[in-house]
Amino acid sequence: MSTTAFTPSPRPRATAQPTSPAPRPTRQVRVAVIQPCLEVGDVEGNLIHLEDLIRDAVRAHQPQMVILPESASSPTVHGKRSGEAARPIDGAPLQLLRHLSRELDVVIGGGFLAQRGGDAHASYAITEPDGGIHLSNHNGSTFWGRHHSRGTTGRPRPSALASFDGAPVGVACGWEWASTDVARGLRHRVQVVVGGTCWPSYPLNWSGPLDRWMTREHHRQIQQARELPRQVARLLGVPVVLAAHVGTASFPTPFAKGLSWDTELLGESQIVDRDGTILARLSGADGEGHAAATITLEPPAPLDPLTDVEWIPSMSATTRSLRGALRARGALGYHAERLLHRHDWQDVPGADLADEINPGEPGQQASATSGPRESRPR
Amino acid sequence: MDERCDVVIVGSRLAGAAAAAHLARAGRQVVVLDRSHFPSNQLSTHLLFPSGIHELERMGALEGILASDPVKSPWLSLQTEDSELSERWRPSGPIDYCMCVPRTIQDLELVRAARAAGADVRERHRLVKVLWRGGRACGVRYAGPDGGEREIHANLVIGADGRRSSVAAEVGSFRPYRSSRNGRGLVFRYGQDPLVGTRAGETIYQFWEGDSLGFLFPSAPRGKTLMLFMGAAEEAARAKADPEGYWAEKMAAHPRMAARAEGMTELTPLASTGATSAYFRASSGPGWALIGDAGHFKDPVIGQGQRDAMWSGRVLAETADPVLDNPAELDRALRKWEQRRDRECLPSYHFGNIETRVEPVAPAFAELIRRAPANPTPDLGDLFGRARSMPQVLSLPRLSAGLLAAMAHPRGERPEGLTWKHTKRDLRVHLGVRKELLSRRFRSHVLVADSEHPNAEPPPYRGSGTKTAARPQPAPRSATADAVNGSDGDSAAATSPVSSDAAISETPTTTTSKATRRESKAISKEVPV
Repeated sequence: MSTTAFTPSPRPRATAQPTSPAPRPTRQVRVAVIQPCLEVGDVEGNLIHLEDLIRDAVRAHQPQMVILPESASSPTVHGKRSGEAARPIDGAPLQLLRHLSRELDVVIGGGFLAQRGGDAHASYAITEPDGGIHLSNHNGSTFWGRHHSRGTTGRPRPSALASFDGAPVGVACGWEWASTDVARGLRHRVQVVVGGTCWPSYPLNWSGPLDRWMTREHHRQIQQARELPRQVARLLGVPVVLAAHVGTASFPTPFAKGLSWDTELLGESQIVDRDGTILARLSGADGEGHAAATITLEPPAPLDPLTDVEWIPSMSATTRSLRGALRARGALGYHAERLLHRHDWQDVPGADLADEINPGEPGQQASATSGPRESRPR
Repeated sequence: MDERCDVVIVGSRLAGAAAAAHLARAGRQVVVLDRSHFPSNQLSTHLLFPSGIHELERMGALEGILASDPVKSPWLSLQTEDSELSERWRPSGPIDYCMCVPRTIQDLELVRAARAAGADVRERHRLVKVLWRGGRACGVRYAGPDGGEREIHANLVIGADGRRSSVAAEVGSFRPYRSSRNGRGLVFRYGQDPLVGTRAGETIYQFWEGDSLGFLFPSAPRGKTLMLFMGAAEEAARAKADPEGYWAEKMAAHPRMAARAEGMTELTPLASTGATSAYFRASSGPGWALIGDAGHFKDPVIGQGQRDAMWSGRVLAETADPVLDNPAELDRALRKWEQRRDRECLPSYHFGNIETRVEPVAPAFAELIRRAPANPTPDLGDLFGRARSMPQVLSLPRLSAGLLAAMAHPRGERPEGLTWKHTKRDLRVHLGVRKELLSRRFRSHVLVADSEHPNAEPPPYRGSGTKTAARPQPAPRSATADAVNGSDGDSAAATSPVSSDAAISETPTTTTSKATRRESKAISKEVPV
């Protein structure tokens, strides 16, 4: 699990000032979040739907940056359909972001399950109009996806942060938003945090005492999802832009074959100012859509203290236990199936891109290749 | 009004026509766009080994080509300074001979075969841009002969438009991820062969003299013969400056080729090129694929471009057809096709890199020629005929035996290239190639040391079609502006302007008659190999 940071490389705009070598202390950026309602496993259909949403958001808000959730090619839940959503790192999900970024002259961020080399990763890409691409893996971001991607062990932790052009941008996905360690890693190091969540709630189709228990946990999840962006913004002292999935999902219950887990994806896409003020919001009840706001990038000024607890919100015992059990089962399952060559994506020859791809001509993009990572073309 | 089809192919020469014919025969609706009007000339490797002719037969173009009365060459003659090997070609299916057919004849038949199979081939149609939907290529915008632009939507977009592929630029794959600089250049001309009808007139010749290579290919129509020298790439400029002086100098250095070419009449002007870097491009992606030279180009010294172009078109058609209606499965199939193409082409890519070194014949290889039996069965010719790959023909025990035999010569009579440095390098190359083939890496950017040569000059990028579309449409390119090996449509429905990498230059000669020059002009624009 990791968080990364990047800064959009300078690019010519009609209103842009001449590039100065000195970092600009503040910058106004118009940002849009997209809250999609997608079908599990239908990657190609979902990408067409996302294209429509992105175009619509750009028409409506004229943003400089559009943020999609993690797993934007297919919601990540339990079951085989989610695992089949993996596409080559240079496949259709990245191409969608790449092409729209150039065509619409907008920075776009979005996550997808990607085959990178000999593994599947929960990747998040930020593409720029000049062809620059920033890739990062967020394998521990969701316990549901642990079965489908190569994971990390232990608590979420940030990777080294790249920073240039004076306005570093951190990327966080799923559980990383809730991790104190991740917040510590990003604190004082970024001027905005972007990313998303894919947060299926507890089952809403179970009956009897289980129904009451699950419903209570469900409402707790909604509350946490609503509060978390504000908490993160105040802890880091920077604006946050979080895009979330919405809609319903139905998948087999782990450890209980035959029992269906019918639930909702929580929504709560938000753009929050550094002091915790919600600038734009789409709740689960709002359904699919997009929202936009103007944020100010400036040096971070944390307002709340960081504590030593593992999670920023207070996680219930149910959630903690379930997370632990599912991650362990997922890790075992992923590696066992990889060894047996049973993952759907293993049928396709693997290649990878460098994490940082330099701007370039549209016809001369870096290709996914294989070989030593350090010598991968950028 | 916008149209819809199953597959749209840009380029209708070898690779494009092969893919179109096989897909159309499978019942798919195929539209092929090409900016040329056929018959149209094309710089090319012309020479087709049995496996290449077998591809022509499979796509239904052979019968028409045979009607042009080409010489069928069932014999191969490899000659070094002190030895000669003569053997027949190993059959590929029913084909056991080579052919060297001018592209004006050949490409017309390719288009006819694609049309006969049911493909809709549209001449004088130019690609404007590739269309995208949901991150996948979903069709093209093109301009017709009247300049009017229209769109056609398809499940699969295939780029078969040659080295300077506009489709490659449109899909972001123009920059090769791997390339190798050529060491040799090409200088060639045609003549009328007095030995037509004899065995010599039906033999493909390769002559080694020092570090220079000479070739002689019976062509079409019967009697026409192609003579080619492949010395250092820099020689192309010399041939341009003083064509007849250069030719006389090469003939003097190649006495056996001069003897074979004695009595040739109706000599055409010289044509030459020095820029034929080899490369691999990423050749598949969501909804698109690059076939023929658009995706991969190898050094023309081994003459494999035409065969590989048709092979890649056919295999792509066979791979894509069953899954054409399922986007996810199609993208997987395209990637697996690319992997298969690489495995098919990597051995000959490396073989070309080895042969393009400007050095005398490798001592071990010379020994294999020397030790060949008087009337051998097909063997070393498989290196070109592709019945077996380079590692299979030049197995390590066989190379070692050849090397030991070369070392057994008395010290003063040992071959020129037999040095510890060269021996070590050659073994390292052959081991490196085998290691790469065993690794099964996909799109490996790890180079094989001493096979791949630095400072490659792949075709220059001229911008994607989207950008060039706004410019005035370039005049139809002359064949002399096209780069080399052009096994397929460099002149396809491309948006790229005339390239300044005009690799081939035609040099006027002062010794041929005006009539001969007029007649031979079209032919001399064709680059054999």
